[in-house]
Amino acid sequence: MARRNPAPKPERTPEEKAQLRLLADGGDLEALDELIDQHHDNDYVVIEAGDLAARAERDVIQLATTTMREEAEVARYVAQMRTDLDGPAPSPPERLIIDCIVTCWAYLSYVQGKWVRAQKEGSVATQKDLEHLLNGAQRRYLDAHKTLAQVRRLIVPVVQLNMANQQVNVVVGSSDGELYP
Amino acid sequence: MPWETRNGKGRYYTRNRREGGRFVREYLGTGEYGEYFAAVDAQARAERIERADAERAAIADLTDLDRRVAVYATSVKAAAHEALVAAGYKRHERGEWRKTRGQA
Repeated sequence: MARRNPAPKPERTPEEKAQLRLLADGGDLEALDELIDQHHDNDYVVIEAGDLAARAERDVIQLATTTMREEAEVARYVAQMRTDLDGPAPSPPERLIIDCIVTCWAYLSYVQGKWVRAQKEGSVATQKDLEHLLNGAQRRYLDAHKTLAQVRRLIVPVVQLNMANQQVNVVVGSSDGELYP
Repeated sequence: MPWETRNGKGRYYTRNRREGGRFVREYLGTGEYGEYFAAVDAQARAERIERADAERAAIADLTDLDRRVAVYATSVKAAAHEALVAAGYKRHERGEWRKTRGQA
């Protein structure tokens, strides 16, 4: 997955960066991706257009931010969050759930911000609607964490060792890389 | 109605407000004063309606996004459960996951 294992990209000249900025302002998504990518020194926030999970994540981030700089900062934070959750060797189901957690977190943060603003200046109906959405977003975020914990606890690859012609089954934990007999 | 006449005489602009659980009618003026206060109230009312419309539209957009995120989260959860089933687990009465017999 490109968001985890990006290919290194050549550094752009200032003129090329200016051209990219123009294209991104005109709505070119590829240029925007590359600009965000260039903004990061260690570029690992490339989001593939064909990846539906990545698109959902980017939609939420774009909605939650107003400037390109802000978007890049949130994307960087999200990438760090994904790395933290990944651990040393995440299995494919774990990666799927982690992507979901990250999207749920971005959405939850966005709704929280809206809810706080509505407490100050919104109507009672808006406050109620946002509270309802906030509850749902919190439940979904916690649920995704619970699912990740279940999968980490239950799905552990079994490795078979053959020591002195006696087969020994060893279970390898996927999240911390420790060996558990 | 904010404009009020008494015995067919005069035309007063009034406002209703709540004070300690009961409504109080406030007389603001007649003639040009009345017209001025009426214009101020109409402006405030239009702004209030505009703000309410904008808030409703924002909530509708957010609800739509919420639905999409919910569908995504549900499908990921379903995929994770399928992975658990494939690994030989079965959900016991919608509660904990247990290894099925012969899989341990």
